[in-house]
Amino acid sequence: MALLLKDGQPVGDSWTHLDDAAGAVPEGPVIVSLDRWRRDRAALITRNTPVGVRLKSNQLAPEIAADLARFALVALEFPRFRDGRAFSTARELREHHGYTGEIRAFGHILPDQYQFLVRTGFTTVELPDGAGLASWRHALAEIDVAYQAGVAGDAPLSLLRRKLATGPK
Amino acid sequence: MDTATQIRTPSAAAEAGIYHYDALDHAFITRRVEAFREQVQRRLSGALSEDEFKPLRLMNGLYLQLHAYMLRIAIPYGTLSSKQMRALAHVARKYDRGYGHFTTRQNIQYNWIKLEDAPAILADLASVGMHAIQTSGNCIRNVTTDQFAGAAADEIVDPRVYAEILRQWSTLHPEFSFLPRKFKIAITGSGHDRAAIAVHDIGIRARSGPGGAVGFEIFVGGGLGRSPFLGRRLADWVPEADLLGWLEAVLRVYNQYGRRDNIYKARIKILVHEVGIDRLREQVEEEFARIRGPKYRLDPEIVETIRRHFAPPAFAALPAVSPALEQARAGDPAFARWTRSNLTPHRQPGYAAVTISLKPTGGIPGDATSEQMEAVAALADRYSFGEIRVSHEQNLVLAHVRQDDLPALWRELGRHGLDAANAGLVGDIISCPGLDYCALANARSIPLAQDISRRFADLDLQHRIGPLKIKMSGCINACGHHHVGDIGILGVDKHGVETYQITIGGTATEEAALGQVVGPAVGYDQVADVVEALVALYLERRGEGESFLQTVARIGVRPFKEKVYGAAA
Amino acid sequence: MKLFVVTATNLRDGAIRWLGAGNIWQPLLANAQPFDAAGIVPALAFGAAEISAQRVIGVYQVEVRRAPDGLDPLSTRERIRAFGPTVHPEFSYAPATSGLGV
Repeated sequence: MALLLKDGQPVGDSWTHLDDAAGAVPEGPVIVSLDRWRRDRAALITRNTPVGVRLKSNQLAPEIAADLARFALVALEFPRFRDGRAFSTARELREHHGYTGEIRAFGHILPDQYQFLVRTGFTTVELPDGAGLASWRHALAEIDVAYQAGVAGDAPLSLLRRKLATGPK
Repeated sequence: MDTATQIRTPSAAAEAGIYHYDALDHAFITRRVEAFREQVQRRLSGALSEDEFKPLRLMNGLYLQLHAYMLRIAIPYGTLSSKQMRALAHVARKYDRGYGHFTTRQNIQYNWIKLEDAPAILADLASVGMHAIQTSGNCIRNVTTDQFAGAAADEIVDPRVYAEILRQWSTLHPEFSFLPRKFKIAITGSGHDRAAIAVHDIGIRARSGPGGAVGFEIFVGGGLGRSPFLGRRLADWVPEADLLGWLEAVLRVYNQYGRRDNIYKARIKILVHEVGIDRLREQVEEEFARIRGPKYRLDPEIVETIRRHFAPPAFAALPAVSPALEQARAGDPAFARWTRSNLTPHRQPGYAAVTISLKPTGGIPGDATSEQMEAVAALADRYSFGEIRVSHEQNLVLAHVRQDDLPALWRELGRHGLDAANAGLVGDIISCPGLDYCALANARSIPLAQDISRRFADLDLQHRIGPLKIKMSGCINACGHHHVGDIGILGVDKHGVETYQITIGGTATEEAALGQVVGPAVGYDQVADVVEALVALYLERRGEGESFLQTVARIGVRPFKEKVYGAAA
Repeated sequence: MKLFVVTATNLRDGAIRWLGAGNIWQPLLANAQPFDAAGIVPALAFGAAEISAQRVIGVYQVEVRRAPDGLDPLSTRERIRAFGPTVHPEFSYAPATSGLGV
């Protein structure tokens, strides 16, 4: 099972990814595809157990906006690290839709993207198989300055703001 | 040199118009270097495969070319201090073969770099506030601007202030570092566009409104390459405070809806073309309405803080006309010729902006040796407040030179082979590295540029011809901007043979237009003949004071075609 | 009969390499081992193993012909790789070879 990372630390994962093909829904919290959600919506709601939805990179925030309150988790896929659409999707969920649940990244992701994930509103990352934990931890600690607004509430040109606040030009 | 000149020699500390990094900026780029050093070690030890390492090295400007690794260093909006120029010279001497190549994106690249040296090079450059971040990859690239910013007499708004704001905003942007494709932004603050904003993903024209307010006209979807497009106007007036919010909106729409299925259709120009400028504007405005608010508002206090970095240097109060300059002109025709082509009017009386041509006859366009870089650094210290610019025409600029000093400066430049009197003329050829270095190229471009330059070695002839831009690319990616040259040359590979398509009538100025194909592609050996024939026809047919573009517009392509295919047959 | 050589890029410095006799990487095309269409297959397999061993990158075959003064690639691109940039004769890899005739 993939290692789950939160704030640079491995954490336990109570969620199960459910295949579209799988018939019965297992016990406990499950993550279903958007297709499956649409197909089994009523049954998944009455189950009364936390449900998460996973989006492919071309499934954008508006597709789940109406149901967002029903999801305890939204998992966003990176089919390849180069496909950066999920960065926008996460940010939209946080900033426009006020989503406060877990946003999880999975798929092909590089350690160098970890900062970007955090700054666009992701909570957790499913590490790709064989990924070195050390470089992921390192990536989060590596750069602690940011020049522009992120989800955390820092403002545009936040580095400059810090300079203005701390005095030296 | 007279005593007066020595006394008022500006010190390096007086560098004008340089955004000086402070401790926070330095900490940032130093850590980037350390991260890259670790990545290179993991690659060399075999812990990282090439597939894993390639995106990491590209994020640090390190490409693999035909003969070696190539390192591209960012020169933000083409402005650097004499100290930084010396560091570039040092890198060329210590780690390369004693020269560097200035690019059409106002950067510099080194052609003979060893992977194992790359971290040390980046560390050396970090010590003078330089880096290679975002010189590659599908991110927001180095923002470019007018090489005469802060100096030109026709400037309305100093674009460097906003170029620096955009540099900071785009540096490691968390949301927009993995776009569908690379993203290039250019900004001009003058009525006369020297930044080629029409051929950028986003082109920005800074304008002045009622009460001195600054606002921006925004163009989107320009670009060259396989499918050339001129940018379309997205907004007439974006107030200063909304600039970043607006750009966030454009980039977010592009990040989400730009095509990712085909690398050749992934630039924003294709999105503009496919959905239409009006629909795109609706999407951007909708997005902007949602994100509008204090978070993305550009605070005037921040703008002012940055503006102070670009305060005018300590100009002397001088008469508008320099008797020393006039006297030298009258006494030396070669100097007079250079002043006709290589000077640009300055806003400050008694000063001029000087273009240092990197296009000597038979030279490699944009190349400079370590010695030349050091000479330019010393001249910048002596004559131009320690500041140097790189132009997208691959030349260097000393932006603030006293007219009284021009004769001495010109003589010094001559000692280093930097006095070619051809800025903006037919010898001032823009050329990509082409097949001699580039892994993407289909055909050579440099040796043709050299060949053409030799055909027009007679500077009097060049001056008689007048302003005329030849731009050459060795493949369809159009790094040499061939679509927007008066004469454009594009190298193509026809069954393993280098072949060249010639266009005429392109321009990247405020009247931007794409060139039209003259006729069937020609062979390597015919290109210089064709260019000569095109220029000859222009000289035969031009009216009084008529530019090459105006002549093409008036008589059409046909006479040029007849001339060429008569000549080449 | 078509003739090929195997080329690659050295990982450490990015320099061009040619596969020579005894599966030794050589800096000069003159020392490359030519193969026919059948012989190139195991040579490329060796190249792939060298990529896995993190010694070289970008292994591929180049078609060449026998010229009076040695092997000569057919394409301009490969001739430039083999002999050096045409605009810097001083950086030529093999001054004795015919070059590109510019």
